[in-house]
Amino acid sequence: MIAALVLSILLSQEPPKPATPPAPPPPPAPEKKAVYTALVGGDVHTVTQGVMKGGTVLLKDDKIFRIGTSVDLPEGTTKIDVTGKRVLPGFIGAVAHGIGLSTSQGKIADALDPFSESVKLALSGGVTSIYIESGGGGGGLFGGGSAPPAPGAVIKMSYGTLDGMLLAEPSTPLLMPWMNGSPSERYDVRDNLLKARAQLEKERDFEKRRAEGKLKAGETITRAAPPLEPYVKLLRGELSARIQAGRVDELRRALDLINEFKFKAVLTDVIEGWTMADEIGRARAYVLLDVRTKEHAPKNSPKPAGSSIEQAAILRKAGVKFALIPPDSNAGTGGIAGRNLITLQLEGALAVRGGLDEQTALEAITITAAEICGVETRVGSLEEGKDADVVVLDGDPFDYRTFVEMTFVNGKLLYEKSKSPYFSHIKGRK
Amino acid sequence: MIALAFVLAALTAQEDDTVALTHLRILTVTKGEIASGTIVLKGGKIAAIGADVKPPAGARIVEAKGLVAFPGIVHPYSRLGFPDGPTGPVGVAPQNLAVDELNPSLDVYTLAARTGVTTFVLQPTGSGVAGQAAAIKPGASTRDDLVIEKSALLRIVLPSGTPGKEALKQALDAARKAVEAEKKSPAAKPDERTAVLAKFLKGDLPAIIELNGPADLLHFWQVMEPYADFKPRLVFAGSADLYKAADALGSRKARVLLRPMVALAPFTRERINAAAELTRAGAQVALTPPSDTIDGLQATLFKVAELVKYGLPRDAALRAVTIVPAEIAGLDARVGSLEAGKDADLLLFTGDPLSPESRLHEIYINGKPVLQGE
Repeated sequence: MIAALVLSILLSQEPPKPATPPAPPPPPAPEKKAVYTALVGGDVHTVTQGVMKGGTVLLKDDKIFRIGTSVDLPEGTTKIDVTGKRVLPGFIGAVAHGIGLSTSQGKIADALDPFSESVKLALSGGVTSIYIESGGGGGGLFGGGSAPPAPGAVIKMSYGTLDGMLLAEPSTPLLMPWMNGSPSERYDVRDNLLKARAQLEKERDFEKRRAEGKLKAGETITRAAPPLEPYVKLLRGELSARIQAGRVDELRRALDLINEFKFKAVLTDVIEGWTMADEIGRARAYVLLDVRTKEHAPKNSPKPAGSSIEQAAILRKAGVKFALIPPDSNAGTGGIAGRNLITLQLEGALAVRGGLDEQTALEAITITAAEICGVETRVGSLEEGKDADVVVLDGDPFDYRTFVEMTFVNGKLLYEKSKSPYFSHIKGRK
Repeated sequence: MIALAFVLAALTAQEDDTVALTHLRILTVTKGEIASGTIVLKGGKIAAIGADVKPPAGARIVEAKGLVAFPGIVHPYSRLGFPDGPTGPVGVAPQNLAVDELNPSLDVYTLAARTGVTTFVLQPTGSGVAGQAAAIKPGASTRDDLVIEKSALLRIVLPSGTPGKEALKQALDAARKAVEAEKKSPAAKPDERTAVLAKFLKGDLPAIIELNGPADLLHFWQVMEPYADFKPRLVFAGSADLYKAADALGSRKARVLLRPMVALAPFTRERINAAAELTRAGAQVALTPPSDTIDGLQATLFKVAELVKYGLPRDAALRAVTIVPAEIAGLDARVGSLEAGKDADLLLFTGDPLSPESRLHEIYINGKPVLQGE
């Protein structure tokens, strides 16, 4: 018991390293004239640096150039008056299916579909980036013929262009068999992690001796190659891995693995996390949270169990970082009245209903979601130098009456409510 | 003496072959409209056409007052008489010939001659780089009589996703190597497969690029980026969704092949006339008949008229079933418009070709009447 406590303290002193930032896009051709767009007069919710009343957000090409209350606008700037509106970073769907891909086969880069109607619908909900899972799932009526699960990618809702659509494509190791595979598949996962740990120790020893000038003449080291490479990257903190764990027993099994190998883990489909929030917090695991999950406790359960609308608030108190996700991870028109990615901010509202503070709720659909996807240096907050992915709301983000009025991706205005066949006719409170 | 008699007989036969259709309203498609003019047909070709053309001596004169002449329709994407739709796994088989699938004894090739479609470009089966399409004219019953061009264009089917793009990359890479080898040493002969691909890349063999949707157009252009030095002749074929990429297609003055349909925007009742949108953006639109059945072939102009009703300019509509598909298949020197020197493939209507009240009264293919009004 004491040993376990000491171990957990030791573990907590070695936090996983943050993900390496993705490579910046190639610089634009020098002769191309910069395009400036200014959103002027709105309340700017930066997420990471507070709220600025009556501020200006100046976009230059595909980046946020300036944020402030007195920003000089270069000649030729397209000025958009957003007085009385809220300006926020684009929302991030930490998990999504069936959006922006034309096929689930092959490489994601080859399957990108920026003309898909689902992209347009995601934009109408202010969603500008998603973590898309391709392959896997499906399975048909009898569960047969399902494609093997493939690592996901972070894609932008860049309607009409492939340029800048693929934001990140981590070759995440798939740890799912640890939870639901056969015993041999489960222990394949563990074997890979053990091999990766041995490789990592070898590499660290090599680097250490090199730094001390103690290498033998001509000594080299063989780097890990696939399929082991992603596991090494995981243990190095360069990648994260997603693990599906809903009930207490599943969470325990997942946390055992995370605590033993100390990697950046994202727990998905979490139901009973609120009953063991501290343990999740100690393991520094991230959580994908659907506030609307409704699961009863087992009959005559002697302990707290089942789902709770307070889960987000309880996890917050335990220091667990989470992203909020809707019950349906697609972007169909069914979401106009809630339940999928096109009304992502309503998930925040429901978490607030369960006791969560609004700031954390906002982070859970922006910067924390970005962090979970490993793209927080590019998107997720309004900061100078970050990608120009911006939404304009006509009211409080967590008011159910609020609509997205405009969505920008990579500096381009790609959605306007007044022109949308789905939303222009909805007058709302006005 | 005998020789002279033979020559005279031959001359008489040739003169008998000449027909002059007079007092026609003529829609030439490429050279405007003639309110009342004469078309002289001779040796299967249009010998002369115009308002002031006089019927040559010895020509059989057909008084056609009240009739409207229009070029025979060119169907650029047909599987007439072929089993099923063109499909198959993704591969690279440019040497595959549609003409090998042709069974000339089928009666559809006779029946189709009476529909108004006078040239069919028959597409080979397959996916990826599928093979070469053949051009035929209906109304004959042997392969040699039907086929006017064995290798009209290269059919490339680009399914969404990695396999299609990989097949295309592989084909382009092989083609470039062949072209470069040829430059270094003209004697270098690529193999049969590569030779076809090289012809395509150099623009000597036009190609049809079939896409699932507008996104695959972007993927195609991405694959083509390293080949910017080459100018292949292309037409893009796909669903009405291609209108979403109208700006990109228009700015490239691309050719686009569509079915003549008014579509609906997703989840709405908003009408989308893809042909009109693409024409407005600057693209050149070709339209296929609504289907390969005899009924479908006969309904071509009726469907096209519907597109005109919903905003497609009339001139673009008339070009879309004649000269643009002829250009697509590299047949525009022979068919697709009423001009002197071109094949005598023409349709005579009792009124405007786009009016639902007009009847197709007479059809000439290679100067021979295949449908004659009573």
